[in-house]
Order: sequence, then C-alpha cells, then structure tokens
Amino acid sequence: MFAPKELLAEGDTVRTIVKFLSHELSKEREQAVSLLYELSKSAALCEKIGSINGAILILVGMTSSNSEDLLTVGKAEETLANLEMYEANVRQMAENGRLQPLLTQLLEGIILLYIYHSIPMLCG
Amino acid sequence: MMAASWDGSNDPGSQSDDSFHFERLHIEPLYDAFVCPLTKQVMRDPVTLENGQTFEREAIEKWFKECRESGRRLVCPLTLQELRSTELNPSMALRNTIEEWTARNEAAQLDIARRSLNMGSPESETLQALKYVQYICQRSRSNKHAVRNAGLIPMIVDMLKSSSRKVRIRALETLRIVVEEDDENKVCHSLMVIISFHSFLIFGIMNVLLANPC
Repeated sequence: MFAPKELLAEGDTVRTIVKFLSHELSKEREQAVSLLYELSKSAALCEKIGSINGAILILVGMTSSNSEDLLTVGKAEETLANLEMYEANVRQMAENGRLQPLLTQLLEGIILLYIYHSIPMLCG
Repeated sequence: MMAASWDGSNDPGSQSDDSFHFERLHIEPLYDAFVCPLTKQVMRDPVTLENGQTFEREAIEKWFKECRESGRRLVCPLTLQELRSTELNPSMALRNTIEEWTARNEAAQLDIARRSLNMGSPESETLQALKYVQYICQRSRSNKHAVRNAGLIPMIVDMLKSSSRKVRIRALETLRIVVEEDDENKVCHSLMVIISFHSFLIFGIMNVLLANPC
C-alpha cells in the first residue's frame, strides 16, 4: 500500500501545488507552502519537489521576502530545511542564493577529512 | 437507500459551511440511548451507575468530583437518588453499538463526499465535502486510511484545478490534513541521527585538538 504522500508524487500534482507558490493572493501561497512542508517530510517527495523547475528558487525567494507574512516565511524555511535531505537540492539552493547548507556540508567534509588524516598521527 | 444529501435528516441549523456540525449529520437515526444526559453528545465511553443510569465516563467523573469538592452528597445527576458507591461499570454492549453506528454513518457520509467531489457539483457542496473529509481525518487515524482507501486523494487533487478560489484553497488545506500523519517518529529518528552524527564530529574534533595542542 502506498503512503498518501507518495501517491501525490505521481503525475503533475506537485507541479500544480508549486504553481500556487507564485499566486498573487497570499492565502493560496500560505496553504501551498504548508502542504509542501508536509510533503517535504518524505524523502521521495523531497526529490520530486526539487525536480520541479523553479520550486526551490521560489521557496528561497519567500524566505527572504519582506512582504510575506511570518507564518509563510517560517514554513518556507522549514520546507527548505527538509529539502536539504536530498543532495541535488543543496546544490540548487546554492545556485539560487542559499549558500548555507552547501557550506555546512563542505565544512563537515573538511572536518571529517581532517579527522581522518589525524588518525595516523594520533596512533603515533 | 436513504436520502443522500448533506442536509438530509437533521437540520444542521447554520448553513455556513465553517460552523457546520458534522456530528449532527446522521444518515442513520440517532437513538436517545447513545446520548449522554450530561454532555448531550453521543457517548464514546459509556458507563453505568449502580442505579442503572448511563453517562459518558468523563462527564460523570467530573460530576462526582464537583460533588466531593463542594461537600454535597453523591447523587445521580438524573434521578437525584443518593448513591452508595461511585463505581462505574463500562457498558461494553452499548459502546460497541455506538461504534458500529458511527462507522456506518461515516462510511455513508464519505460516500456522499465522494459524489460531491467533482467539477460538476455546486461550489457549496464541494466545499462541504472537503470540510467533511478534513473533519473525518482529524477524528482518527483509521479514518485517514478510509479516506485513502476510498480513492479520495486523486479527487481532491482534481479540485486544485477548480474555477472557484475557495475550492482551490480548501483542496490545498484538505490535502495537507490527509497527508499529515505519524511523522513524529520519523522526525525524531532523523533528529537522533543528526545529533549522534554531530556529537561524533565534536568528539572527533576534541580528540584531534587534544592530541595536537599546536
């Protein structure tokens, strides 16, 4: 049996939902981002949302918008945080001006590398 | 077949779809024996006193508590008869009957909702059907399964393309409620993974720093 979220990954449902993100009326945007946030809790949907052209760009734009209400900004932020789960999304975010997730990954990589190279030293 | 419409048996009173009381929307007749005399609501956990009167457990416990706190004698709230004990006997038979009645009602209502979820239905009917799906999903987890199994999700998705703005917004809201579910465990799990990964990192850095003071 399919979980309901995975059911929504089929067809162009996610694309339809993403379209609401750029709707001129704020109620539509608020509902759409709340729904995307729920969907982004599933790894399969993270990939799907990231694959929709412009989805990450719009979400990044929403988080830095002054005209958006706080609830919507918060949900957009949380959605992006969930989308970071999927590697390709992190790169897309960096391309669209959200560098922090990529930097965190790089830093973690560097630290791990450093630790890895330190092990022989530690052992004498 | 019963008359199948949203304003079927009992008049829901207000026609505003937001103040609509789905509890009153019965396809099957409502029996007085299902209703708690204290709460006037259909009972979920009916219990019987020593004098044979039945109440909702929560309500009668509250009544006893109030009696005790105000120093009054313990009486049955219906007959005002004095009671020797506050013993409550669960009425399993009644409870099962109510549960079956509720399930039959919900199935019938879901069926009506399904028929209202198409582009041809009037806006008010579609809005009410969506509201009903939300209501039923919020009642219990097993109801969410019923909504999914009834094939309602694709129908709600279709409503995103409705020409009515109200319907589109409510369809978005309904989808969110339908997919919201036991993620708490998953979130907790991934949080634990992140925490343990980071504590491992910090532990590693400390080790390295301690070993190489320069």
